[in-house]
Formats: sequence, C-alpha cells, structure tokens
Amino acid sequence: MNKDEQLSRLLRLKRHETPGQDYFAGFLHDFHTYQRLHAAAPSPANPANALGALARSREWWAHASQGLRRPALAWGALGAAASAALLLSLRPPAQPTGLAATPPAPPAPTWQSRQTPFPAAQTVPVSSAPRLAPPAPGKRRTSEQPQDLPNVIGPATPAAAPSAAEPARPQ
Amino acid sequence: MADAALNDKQEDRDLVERAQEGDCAAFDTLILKYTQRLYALIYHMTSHREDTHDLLQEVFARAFRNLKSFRGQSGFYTWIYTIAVNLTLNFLKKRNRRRMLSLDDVDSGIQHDGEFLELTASSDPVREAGLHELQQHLNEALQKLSNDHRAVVTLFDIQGLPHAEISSILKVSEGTVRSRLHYAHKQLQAHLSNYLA
Repeated sequence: MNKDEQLSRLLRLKRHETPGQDYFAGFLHDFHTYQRLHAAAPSPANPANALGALARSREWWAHASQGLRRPALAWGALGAAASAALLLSLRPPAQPTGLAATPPAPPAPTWQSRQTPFPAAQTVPVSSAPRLAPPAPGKRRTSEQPQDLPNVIGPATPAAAPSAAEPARPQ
Repeated sequence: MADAALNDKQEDRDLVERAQEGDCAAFDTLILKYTQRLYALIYHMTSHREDTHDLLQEVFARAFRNLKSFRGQSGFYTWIYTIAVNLTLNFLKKRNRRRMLSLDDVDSGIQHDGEFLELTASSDPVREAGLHELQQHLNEALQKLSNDHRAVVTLFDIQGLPHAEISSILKVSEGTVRSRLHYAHKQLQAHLSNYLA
C-alpha cells in the first residue's frame, strides 16, 4: 500500500467524527426557530438591515471574484469603475453647443458684485484742515498749501464728501 | 446504481417544485435528507462544531430564500453543496486568525471499521496513538492546508465525491481539482508522516 492510499484511508476515518443522531434529530426544530427569529427582524429602515445588505453585496462580490485567477485585479477594476463613476457625477453639466432658444443666463454674482457701496457715514476724513494746493515743482508740500484732492479713506463716491456728520480729526 | 441516482434526482426535483410552490414540508424533507452530508462537509472544513451548526443553519436559510431562483440546471444536491462550500469559504476567510479546534466525538463504530482495524494492525504509530490523539493530528493537519485545498480534500477523500461533481460544486475545472488534490496530499503526507509507513 503506497503512502497516498494510506493517507486516503486515514482521512476516511474522519467520517466517524459526528455530533450524534440526537443532533440531527433536533436540527430541524433548531432551524425553524432560527428562521422565525430572522423572519421577525427585517425592515428597510433598520440600519442593521442596510449593513446586512452591504455585507451581502460584499459577499456576492467575493463570491463572484473567486473564480477569477487574480482576484486582486477584479478589486482594482471595481475601484477604477467606482472612481470613474464618482468623477462623472462631480463633472459640471456640459455647455449647450447649439443655438439654444433660451437666452443665456445672467452671470452668477461674483464676490465683488456682491459688495455694497461703502456708506458715507463710515468714511473717515484724514484731516479737516484747509486744503492745500499742490506743491510747486521741485518743492515739498507744506501744511500751509491748499489741497485740491479730497483726502479721505474709502471709495471715491459723491457721498464721501466731508459732511457735518463726520467727526473732525483732532488737530 | 445509476437508477438509484436518477430516482434520487427526480425525488429532489419533485420536492424542490413543491417547496417552490410554498410547501414548507417539502423543504423540511430536503433538510432532513441533506443535513448529515452538509454538516460533515462544513465540519471537516472548519474543524469546529459550533461554527458548523451556525453555518449549516445559514446554508438552509439561504437555500430557502433563493429557492425561487433555482432553475434546476444542476441537481439540488450540487446547488446546495455550492452554497455550503461558498459560505464556509467566506466564513473561513474572515476567521483566519482563530485556530482553536472544537471537535465532535468519534463514534464507536470506528472500532468495527475494517480500514481502521487494518490500519491499526499494519501501522504501529496508529496503534500506539490513542484515538483522540489521532483525531487531533488529522484535524490539525487538515487545518494547515489552505481553505481551497481543504475543500477539495473534504469533498474527495472524506465525502467520496467524484472529480466531476467537485468541479461542478467549486466551479473550477477537473484539472484544477486534480492538481489541488495532488498538492494537498503532498502536504498532508508531510504533516502526517508519523502515521504513514
């Protein structure tokens, strides 16, 4: 008797490992109890069922990829397909290329267009002193010379002109 | 022999048709018919009786849920065996770290088994090793195989299914079945060399 035959005989001895006839006699009853317990549970709103569905889908995929020679490739392909689907879903809708009957939509408001005009009350005069004239060429401006240009901080709007409401800068 | 197999298949077909029409008693008959064989299949793959019990319940529950989709291209026997093997393989992948054995008792019938008597007569190690020790070593050696190799050994050596049937259950070619068997036998011979003359 060769080793392979001896091994087969040894392995066949494992047939004698059994839980006994009592187990098999009671199995049907156990199974009915198991079925009743599981039949009571399902509800689509139950998150446990969602997890179960996820587990079943994983199981299905594991089973489906089992027959492949290189399951790692199958996982890679699945990952690539999922990434492509995600990219497609994130891509903005394509611009109409034909002569569309609908007029183009107004441009979306930008950050600048949303800015409200700077209110006059918030403009702060740098100085309420008499305006100085521009200095003569080659000369430095002095505080006695009048100034033509308004010297205020803020946007140059008509409302930005100095008013009585504006506080005067202390001299 | 072939007639008996045909009758068996026809009987399964009738029971399945009745169960598909909602006759639960027909499905119970199928459970009673296949419990022992499926238990043995799962048990020899897991070497754990509690896991086997849980998996066996899940196998029948899944078969019951999917019974409507069973079209009868293969026999019910092959179909439910495929469910059992796939469920067990998936379970074993997750269970990879646990290696504790939980073994069934060896029935007293082994003392009258001709092969056992012959082995104890011809092999000193088998005779000297207690029955429990031999069982432990056999299970440990099987657990050292990969899950796929253990499935083939279980179906072929322990359950005695032909290569073609195993190939249908595992959805692999007969060549793959044979090569897995060859490799698994080499490994088992190395692990059980003490028991082989």
